[in-house]
Amino acid sequence: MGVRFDQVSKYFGDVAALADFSLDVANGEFMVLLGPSGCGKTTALRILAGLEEATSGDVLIDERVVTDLNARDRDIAMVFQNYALYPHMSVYDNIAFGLRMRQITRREIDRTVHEAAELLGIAELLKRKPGQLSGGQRQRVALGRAIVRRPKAFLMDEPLSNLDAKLRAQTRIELIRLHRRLQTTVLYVTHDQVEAMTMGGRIAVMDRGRLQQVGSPQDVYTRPANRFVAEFIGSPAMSFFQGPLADGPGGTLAVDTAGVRFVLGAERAASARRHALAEITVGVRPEHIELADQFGERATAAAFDAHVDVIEALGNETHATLLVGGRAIITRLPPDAAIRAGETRRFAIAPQHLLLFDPASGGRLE
Amino acid sequence: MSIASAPRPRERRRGRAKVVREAVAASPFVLPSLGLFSLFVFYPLVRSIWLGFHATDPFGRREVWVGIAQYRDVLTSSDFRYSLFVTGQFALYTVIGSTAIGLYLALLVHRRLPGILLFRTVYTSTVASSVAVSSVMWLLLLNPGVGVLNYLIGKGGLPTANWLTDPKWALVAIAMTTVWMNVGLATIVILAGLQNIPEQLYESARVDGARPWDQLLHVTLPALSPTLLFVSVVGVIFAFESFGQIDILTKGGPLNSTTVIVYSIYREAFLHYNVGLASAQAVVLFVIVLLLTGVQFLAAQRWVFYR
Repeated sequence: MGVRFDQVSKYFGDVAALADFSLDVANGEFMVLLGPSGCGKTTALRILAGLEEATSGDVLIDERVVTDLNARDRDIAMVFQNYALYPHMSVYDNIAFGLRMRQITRREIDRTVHEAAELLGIAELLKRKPGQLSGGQRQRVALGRAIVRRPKAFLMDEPLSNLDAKLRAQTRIELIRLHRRLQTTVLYVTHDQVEAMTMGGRIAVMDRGRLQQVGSPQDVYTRPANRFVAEFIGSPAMSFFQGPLADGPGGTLAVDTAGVRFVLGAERAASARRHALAEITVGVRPEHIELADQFGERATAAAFDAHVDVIEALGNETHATLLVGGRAIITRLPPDAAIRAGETRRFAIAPQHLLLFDPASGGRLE
Repeated sequence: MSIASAPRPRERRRGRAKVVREAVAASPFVLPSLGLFSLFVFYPLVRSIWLGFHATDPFGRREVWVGIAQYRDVLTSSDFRYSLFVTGQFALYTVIGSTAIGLYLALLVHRRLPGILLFRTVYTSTVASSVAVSSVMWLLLLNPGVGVLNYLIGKGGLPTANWLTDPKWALVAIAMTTVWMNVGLATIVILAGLQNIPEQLYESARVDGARPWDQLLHVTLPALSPTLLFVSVVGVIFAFESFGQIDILTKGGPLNSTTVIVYSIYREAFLHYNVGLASAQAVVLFVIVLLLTGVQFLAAQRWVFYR
């Protein structure tokens, strides 16, 4: 059941929009395809929809190969980024169109359309034309058009990107509720990591046509497969430090980077040694760079002095841009952190928060 | 009417001053075309209406007031009514012909295929040929003895026709010529309309289960309706103004079967030298075209969709 990509590739000339892409989406799962623009996420969705032909590989819906089927025979519904509502049809006709194309009785269509309109709160808009609707209302009509069909899967291509921030947050929650209610498989394409983290049952992170990692939101955040995932997910972004490895006391390893010296405990050191690397990249999330005077008795993997360049107080937290070793890194501090721009302060990082990457391949070391 | 919304005198004066200022600023932009229109459109129009009330000598001079007599003559003349009937038939043939063929050709060359530019150029090239050249060309094609048309029809085993001398076929032959001449413009305009339809509407329709025919019916034609209205309005106006091809191919004959109103006006004015009566016909033609265009736009409000 569900949806499967089996080694799907798509080439435009010599450029691989999608390279050897394999992904299993369970029946009823909310799967988010996340990545920067040009990463192949929309191409993957369009291939699944039948709007684009794969150069090689197969697409399966419900264990059935649909690679050579027309879009209309795949029993999927799609919500487009700009909604693609038929401008000359009323809201009712827009929602009913897919049903009319499938020889469903008029009475059944009428019942289904009203039911969906009721569910989405657009019952009073059924007679209007799309041109008379707000962005949020159009978005609902596009959703309505998709759900009346009771398809095997919903494909959504950045459906929230044309809404303003407040409406987007609201619609996110409504989409989560809708999915819980309908229990239909969803493939949701976005470049917005907040959408991915909040809505995705699992997230497939993509870059340059390749799948980088599939996992739960927590998984991709705390255990990114590689440097790309680590950097792409999380805001402010993770900071990276690179330097040569040197033996330290008691089986430890030291990483000397510009301005910060990291000490890897025996276990991490052993893992790093196994890979026989001359240099290593250390990644640290901004919330894990803490003020040293708040650190107490806990063990530290690194402690360093930094010039506090810029303070951004967001109310619920404070971001500080630090200058260390000639570069800027960002730390996320509690809202009441006693810190001011222009000071030089000492910061510390706990050992369990270090992520280690192979500088050459970008892969994370366990 | 609320008190607050009524402008105070001073404000009103200021508003008027602004209007005057804007008019002064706009005049250099408007004057050139206003001058040209006055010279070539407004003055002749007024002059025609004026002449319609006067009997004249063959050069349009020595005007003698005759009141509505000439207008009455025009409207009661069976010749004029017949030419009106011919014109209507002609408009029907040419508008339907060039819009339908233009739509078909535009749909054909709208696809993105290698070498499609060549076909686009070929199908739209008639736009660049003059009425005179096209007419002479069709004079040869339609020639009953050596014409290609009869040759092809004969090859197909169908009866050939004396296209331009048989009253049954002459108007059809001229309509064919005119459709050929108009179809280039129709194709260009419809093609432009097609290219304005967002691709996502088709994708959405495909996912919704629409076959190519459904897409044409439910996406393309509604989105194209303003363009088709434009093409047909222009087509009607063209039809009512056609002269060159009739003069070259049939001179209104045989048996007046191709005497459209414009040709009748021409004959009245420049063969019979009856300028006053010709002017009266011209004015009646003007009113008819005006009414027809109005009717088309009214009808369009029912089914044309403007985004």
